[in-house]
Amino acid sequence: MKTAIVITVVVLAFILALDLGAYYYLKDTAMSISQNIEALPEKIENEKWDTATDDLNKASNNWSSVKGIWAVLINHDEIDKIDMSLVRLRSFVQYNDTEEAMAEYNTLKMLVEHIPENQRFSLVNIF
Amino acid sequence: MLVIFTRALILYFLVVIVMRIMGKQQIGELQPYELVVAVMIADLGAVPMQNTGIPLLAGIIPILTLLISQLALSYISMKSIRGRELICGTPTILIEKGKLLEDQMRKERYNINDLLEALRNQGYYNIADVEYAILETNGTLSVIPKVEKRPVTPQDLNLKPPYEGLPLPVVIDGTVDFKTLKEANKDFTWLKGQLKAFGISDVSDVLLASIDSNGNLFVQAKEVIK
Repeated sequence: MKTAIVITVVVLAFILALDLGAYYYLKDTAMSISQNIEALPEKIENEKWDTATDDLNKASNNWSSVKGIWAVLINHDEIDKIDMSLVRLRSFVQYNDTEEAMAEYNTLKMLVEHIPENQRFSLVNIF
Repeated sequence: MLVIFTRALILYFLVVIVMRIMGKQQIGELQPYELVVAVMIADLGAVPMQNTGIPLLAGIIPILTLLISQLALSYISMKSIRGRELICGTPTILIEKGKLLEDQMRKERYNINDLLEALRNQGYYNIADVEYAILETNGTLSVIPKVEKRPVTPQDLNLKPPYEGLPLPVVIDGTVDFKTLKEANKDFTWLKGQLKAFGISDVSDVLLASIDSNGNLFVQAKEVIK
């Protein structure tokens, strides 16, 4: 009986710690990627395509470094969606397409920022 | 993680409650419609448990729907003989007066090997010992042996054994069940006196104590864990 209680408490503590750790890791890294592309709308509107490409490179490198850990924590579909959005945004910036680039920027920002929100322990996410 | 954990807990307790409401047959021999419910509930609970993209209600509503459907079918099969025949089917006689009924076996797609295996499971190794074999609606085989092969009963020997009632467990794992003790027309003082005779001074040292229909007490003390 004692063993069962110990195992239950250890497993509960492990799940709780993993959940908290995962949530704060996802929140921090999502914020960092968001910050990488924060200045993009202004640069796209002013057609500063070179500096916009630099920002995108920073965001891509940042994304590549965290992607492996995100893959352990969240649905792989979400990762694929971010990958695709980044590729599309890069193409629109490369071909100087202001309207499409702005639309894709907003999509990418939403995709990245909603991940930690989806992992949060809340009634909305449970039901 | 905690979201999946909570969803799993909610669905687990819901399925346990649903199975309890559905009744004891759900965990024993199942009728065809009960088997369908058990299989479907397992799947309905498991999918939304791990897929947070599916609303929890998408798992809960079908489980509750199956519950009321199953309760309705149980009610119909309990109240109406015709309904019972339609829902559960009817038992099929496979061996009648010691003779295999080939057409019935063909109808039930029950081959000789299946029959021999089921008979062996019932303790009949020779088909010649069987007078009747009936395939029940839940898939089990009931066997009536030939008169000369059935076990001897006290009635055959003109014996009248004393009445044997249900033994009543009055102490389980150190806890006295006062309700059962009262049913046995005994009190705690009597129990303590009896336990003393077994060399046990504290009730909490008793693993199991039960009273049989003759008023005899069976006592087993807990093992001393070093």
